[in-house]
Amino acid sequence: MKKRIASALMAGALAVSALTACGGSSSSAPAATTAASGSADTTAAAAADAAAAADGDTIQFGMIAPMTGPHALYGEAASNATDLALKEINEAGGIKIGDKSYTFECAVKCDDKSDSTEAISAYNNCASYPIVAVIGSYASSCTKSYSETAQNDGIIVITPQSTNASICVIGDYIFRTCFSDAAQGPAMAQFLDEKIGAKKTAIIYAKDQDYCSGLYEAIAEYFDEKGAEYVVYECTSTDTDYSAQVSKAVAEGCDAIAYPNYLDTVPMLVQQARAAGFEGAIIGGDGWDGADTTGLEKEFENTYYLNHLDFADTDEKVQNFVTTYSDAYGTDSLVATASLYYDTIYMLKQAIEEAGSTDPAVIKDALAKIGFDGVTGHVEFDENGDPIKAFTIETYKDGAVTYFDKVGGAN
Amino acid sequence: MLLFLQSLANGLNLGSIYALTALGYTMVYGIIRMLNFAHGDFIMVGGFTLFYTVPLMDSLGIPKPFAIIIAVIVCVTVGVATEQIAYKPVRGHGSMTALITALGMSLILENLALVLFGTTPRNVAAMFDLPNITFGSISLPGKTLLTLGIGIVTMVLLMIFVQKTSIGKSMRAVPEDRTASTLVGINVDRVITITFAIGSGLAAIASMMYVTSYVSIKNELGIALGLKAFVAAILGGIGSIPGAMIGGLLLGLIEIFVKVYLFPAWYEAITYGLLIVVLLVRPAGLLGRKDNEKV
Repeated sequence: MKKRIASALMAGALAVSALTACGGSSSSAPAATTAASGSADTTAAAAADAAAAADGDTIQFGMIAPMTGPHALYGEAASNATDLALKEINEAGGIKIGDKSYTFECAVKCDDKSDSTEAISAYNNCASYPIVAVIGSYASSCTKSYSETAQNDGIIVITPQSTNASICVIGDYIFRTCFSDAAQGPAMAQFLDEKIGAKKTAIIYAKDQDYCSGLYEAIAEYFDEKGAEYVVYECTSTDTDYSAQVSKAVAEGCDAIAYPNYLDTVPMLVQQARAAGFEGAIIGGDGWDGADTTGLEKEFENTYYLNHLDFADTDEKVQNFVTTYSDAYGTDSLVATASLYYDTIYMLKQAIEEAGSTDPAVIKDALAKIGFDGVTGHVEFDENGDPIKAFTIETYKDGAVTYFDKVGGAN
Repeated sequence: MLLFLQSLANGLNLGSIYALTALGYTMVYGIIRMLNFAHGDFIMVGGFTLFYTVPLMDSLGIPKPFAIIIAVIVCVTVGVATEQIAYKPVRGHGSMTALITALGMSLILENLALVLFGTTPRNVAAMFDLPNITFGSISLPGKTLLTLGIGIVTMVLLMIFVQKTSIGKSMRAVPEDRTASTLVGINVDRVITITFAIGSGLAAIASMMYVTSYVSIKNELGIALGLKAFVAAILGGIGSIPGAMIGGLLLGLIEIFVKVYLFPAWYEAITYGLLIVVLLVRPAGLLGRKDNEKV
């Protein structure tokens, strides 16, 4: 009896794992995938039905996001944003090419678990549908893992949030909605130079992180070109003590600190810089988003970081998005990722309409020339497919993230 | 010169945290020849206790520094419980068994914290509201100076306790000769428990110093800190109480000065390279005794 229960359980487990696996190309795979990823079911299940109907009146794309794993919150946001954008687009009449209207659909939502191997399976699953584009992923390593295959398959990839500089150069089918790290660094430097009026900047960066050293190099390059003064102090991403670097910055007479690093060490650096008597501006990149300021409200005054957008921005597009999104899904998953996936879908729609075709080869050319206005700002692409986009500068007031300014961008 | 003085203060502050942590290692090792790898995690426990108790004290209208008393109580409880539940049953089963039990305890505490508090780093509210103290153009945070003072006073009190009181004398007698200690009427089990209690209490003081200087805590903070403190204990001569203090202070000072005057990203390599040199010249550590190991 025990054995039988065990084997029944085993069979059940096998069935579940087969269903949740994203790589299958059998017709049962898509519905099952979405069943496993919770909130995603409705749209994609409906989409799968529509795919079965496949009467040529739909245009489909595949969506990849981390629905489970360490970035599951972003996956949830991405999934919600996809549903929201598609609902709005189709209620407004879908995609119009000439006189004909098409329903815009997400063929399948796949979970990459923020793992580059899973991402390849997810891509293969997407590619088994008649899709024009893949929208995803979140992590740069995931997007990188399938971009070359997509380029060869002639499928457009638009990543909403992978910032690594080496993604869009893979090919002319590869785009992104967010800014790249190669643009973020100079924007930080430009902000320090023009808005803060920094005379001498101390750049403190973690030597063992690509994100940090990439941004440091980009900042330093900008300062070199402008002939601005700066000093560089190294640290490692596991450090907790920055007192040596910050007291040197004070001794050198620096009036600004650039700290391109992830959120976890930000409170330590800010606290120790202020404790060392540093009163100037401290600036970081989008890795700062979500840093804890509890108990350091005073120390976080005069600190800034670059972000994709600010939800408190009074811009009408931003406020509309915040209202419709939170009405439908609450505010827990209202993060930059949601707005970036939302924008990506609208941008793809606009590109298809401007191309007047459902052929990815034509759509990609339309994308390359696009001028798109979304929640996260105005997007135009450079020759690589990296957007030329404005940066939102955030600051802190009483410890709360507050909109400060915008820099850069095409207009 | 100003940078030198400021770095001296920073180094002493970091060094006192290492020293207080190293004391926990060295006292336990001195008595039962066991490396308590869970000791670093006791500091994490203290940190999370302060994370909850500082705002609690504030809301109850009690001065915030009283949160440290609760942290000491929690750390001592966790430390003594660990000793009673995990270490006591395997005592006498060889040092390898004890070592693995300690590593296991360390992992249990880290993962327990992971389940309870998640991986997001949290900021502990400030306990002391003191302004920066400036001498000319150097600035030292008042709260850091205060915790540095508390750390040093704690160490001095510990020295007096170990040298002058009868429990302190028992603590020194047990490692000399455990059988003889039992014969002269020392309750060895009780002395061991008291040692764990004191070591864990010191961990709570160390966690107070840590959160005052570094604010942000996470479930893994004990790993790196514990390792550094262990190195400090070895450097000073493991088993020696003044050795742990000197080892900790030296390690903190070396780290800071290497960062300020040499290569910031290489400070760990240089610090530990130096440690290897010290151990080559003096294998028992700075204040260690060569004849300590009894067969």
